[in-house]
Amino acid sequence: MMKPKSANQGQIIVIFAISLLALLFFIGLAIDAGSVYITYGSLKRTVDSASIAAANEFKRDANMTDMTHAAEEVFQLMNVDFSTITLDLCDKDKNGIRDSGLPPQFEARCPDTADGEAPRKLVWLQATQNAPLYFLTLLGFHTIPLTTSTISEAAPLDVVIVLDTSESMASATSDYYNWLPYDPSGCNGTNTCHPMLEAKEAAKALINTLAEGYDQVSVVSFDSADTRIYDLGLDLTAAKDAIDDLVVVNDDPPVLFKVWAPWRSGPNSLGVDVPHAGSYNPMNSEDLDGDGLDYDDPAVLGYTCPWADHPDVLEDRWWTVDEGAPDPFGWGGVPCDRDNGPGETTPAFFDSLDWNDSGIWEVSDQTDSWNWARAHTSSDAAADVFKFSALSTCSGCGLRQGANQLRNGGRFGSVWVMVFLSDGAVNLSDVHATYDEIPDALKNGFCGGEMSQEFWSSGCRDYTFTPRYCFDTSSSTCPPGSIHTDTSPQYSVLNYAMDMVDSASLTKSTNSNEPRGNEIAIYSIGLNVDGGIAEDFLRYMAAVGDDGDRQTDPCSSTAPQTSCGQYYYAPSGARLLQIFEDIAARIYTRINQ
Amino acid sequence: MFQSLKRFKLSNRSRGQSFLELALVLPVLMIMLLGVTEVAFYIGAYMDVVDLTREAARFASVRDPSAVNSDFDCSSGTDLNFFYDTACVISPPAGTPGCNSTFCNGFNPYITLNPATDDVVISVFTIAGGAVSDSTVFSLSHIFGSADNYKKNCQGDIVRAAPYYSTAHVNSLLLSSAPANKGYVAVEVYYCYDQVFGIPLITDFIPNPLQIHAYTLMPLPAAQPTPTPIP
Repeated sequence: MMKPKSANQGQIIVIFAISLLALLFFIGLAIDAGSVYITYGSLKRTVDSASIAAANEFKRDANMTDMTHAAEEVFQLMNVDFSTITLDLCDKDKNGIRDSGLPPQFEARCPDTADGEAPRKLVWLQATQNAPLYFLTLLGFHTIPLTTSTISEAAPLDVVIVLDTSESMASATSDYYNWLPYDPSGCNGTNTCHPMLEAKEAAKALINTLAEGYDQVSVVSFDSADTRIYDLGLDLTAAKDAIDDLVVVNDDPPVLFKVWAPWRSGPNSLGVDVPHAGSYNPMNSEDLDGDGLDYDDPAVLGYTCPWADHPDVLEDRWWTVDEGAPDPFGWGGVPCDRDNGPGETTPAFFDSLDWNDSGIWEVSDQTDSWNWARAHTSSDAAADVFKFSALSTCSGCGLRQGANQLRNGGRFGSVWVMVFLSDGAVNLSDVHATYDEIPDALKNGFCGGEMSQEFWSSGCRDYTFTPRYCFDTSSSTCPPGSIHTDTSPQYSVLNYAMDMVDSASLTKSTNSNEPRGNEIAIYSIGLNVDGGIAEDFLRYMAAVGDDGDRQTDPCSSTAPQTSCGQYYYAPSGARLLQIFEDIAARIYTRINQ
Repeated sequence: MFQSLKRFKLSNRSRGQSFLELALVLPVLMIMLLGVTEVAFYIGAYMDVVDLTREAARFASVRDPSAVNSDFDCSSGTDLNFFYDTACVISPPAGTPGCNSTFCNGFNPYITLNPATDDVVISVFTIAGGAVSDSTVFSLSHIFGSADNYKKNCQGDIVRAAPYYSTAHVNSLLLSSAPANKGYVAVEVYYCYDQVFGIPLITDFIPNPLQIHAYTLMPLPAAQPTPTPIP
């Protein structure tokens, strides 16, 4: 027993000295715990980033090695050791069946595809890092290993590829001439139509980047109407085969070359040859009064062609002032085509085209026209009512069909993407027969107008991007700044195509009543388009298609014929492959856990 | 133990000695205890800042870096300003102290940036062919009317010329085995942590405030290279 008096001396110091050891021990533990916390936080966020980078590689249809390298680089950039990375996929061998031997937590998340569950693009990433210890080093513990894992997911893709197949898609073929009728059946047969071939190869390259068994693809083409090449589905090989077999350049009716010469142009009072713009219906050269029928009502035309009294003066289908015609348009005459009488529908009397270029109508003009129509339709009856149109770029048709593919077959939770390629300005719209929301009374769709007037005089093109017109039932649902109308013109095929863009992608509008679209991400490609209305429209498509907002336009200050945002300019078909590959690389990834 | 202590009969001298000893050890004890608490607060703040950089980087990684406009308001939901809206993740939540009219609606109420000393740097890198081909650097301090706070320590001294993620630094870390074309976004926060206790002696060695630098880097698919237009 120590004596109390002597023991009191220095007691606090002794107690403190003893306590200090314990205190220092706990302080040391606290510091080491902090080190462990910080290291774990650093490791966790690095694993998160790296797993996203790895999942990103699904877009390139990468294998596990490439994904691991992508993850390693993120570790390197985040200053974390990457030597312990472990990466896994649900289906490494891409046989459509979930692999065995997966980490239990990961296997639980991987869909059992053998049991019919839809595959998912999941990436499992695990890493270990040694947290440095400072105090415990004194006890021989220098580091403590920390392990964390994460699962990231690249969203499955539902991709629609929409390709323009109008005749100009053969414009780089060796035997193609701008000023002569062209029959693409030859190059279609040998698959040598250019730039169509490059577009097809680029589309197949894009499909190659999709993940077999995970992603769906659809292929749609459009010219004067839309064509479903391959409905949205998982069979990527079948989609590529369909592109090879079914995507062909459309043989446009040779209206521009075969319509009667005086309908195209003629000498003015000074003897100078000037265009007779709008002298016939560009949607149907047989229909001069715009009612959809061959018969033309004199009350609408404003004149009565002298078929009864002097049919001889109309052998060239042009009634001149010298022959007694009125001159309401200053052309020195008016067009006349033969009809079978009021109310007739079939067969049309095909005489708007001088098929044999003789300058006068002959029976062969009728028979050749019908034979051409028959060769491009499925029945005699269809040939009888064939509409000879000079136009073949119905972008709105392609957009409508593409969006419908996603609306009908797109999966919840997948990213909906549309890649739209066109080489020209919009000059057609749907009609009632192809889209029943369009009034049946509009026989020419939204290529409204009349002789010599818009839109006949512009070949159905709308060269005024603004003002925009709105054809909605109520003006309250119109796009902000647009003008409500119920006629065409003013509402145009371009306005229709813009509305199709909105219905596909628009998610933001300052008009709360304006209908919203389906949030489809659209990438548009202008193939050798000029910097005019064709490119303006494709850029509008990309502006809405990137964030659902028409007001935010990455191209607003970009020079014409330049790629910007989600719009790509391709000066020739040779550029398409790179563009499609770039689009494939830009599709977003989302993290799941 | 207290019972046994009571058995001691302490003299005035010994009581005085005990007080003297206590007076000697108490400051040391307090410094140690408060120091540990201060370290805990610091680690807590550091973890908060790290989490905020992670959330901001994740926010940015699924957005379009070309969306740049004059909308410097965290509360406006109409226009996306990629850089400013990413920084908004680090602003204080609505209704908390430090929230102002244009820098609000963020995630964490415990981290309030000081416009005079703190900074958020957001860097976007486009990497083509295995090297940085384009980069954009945004500093929040410019919006706040300061100049490159990230270059300074909390005492205002210039201590660095560039943010941690500079083009040269990123280039030096890229792996040749990784995909050649990609995009990254890096979010860095430079935050001056005011010591809670400001313990004497410790502040002689550890500056007060003390700068916390945290960062997160994420893939940014929208920053991947686009084709070079052919004239």
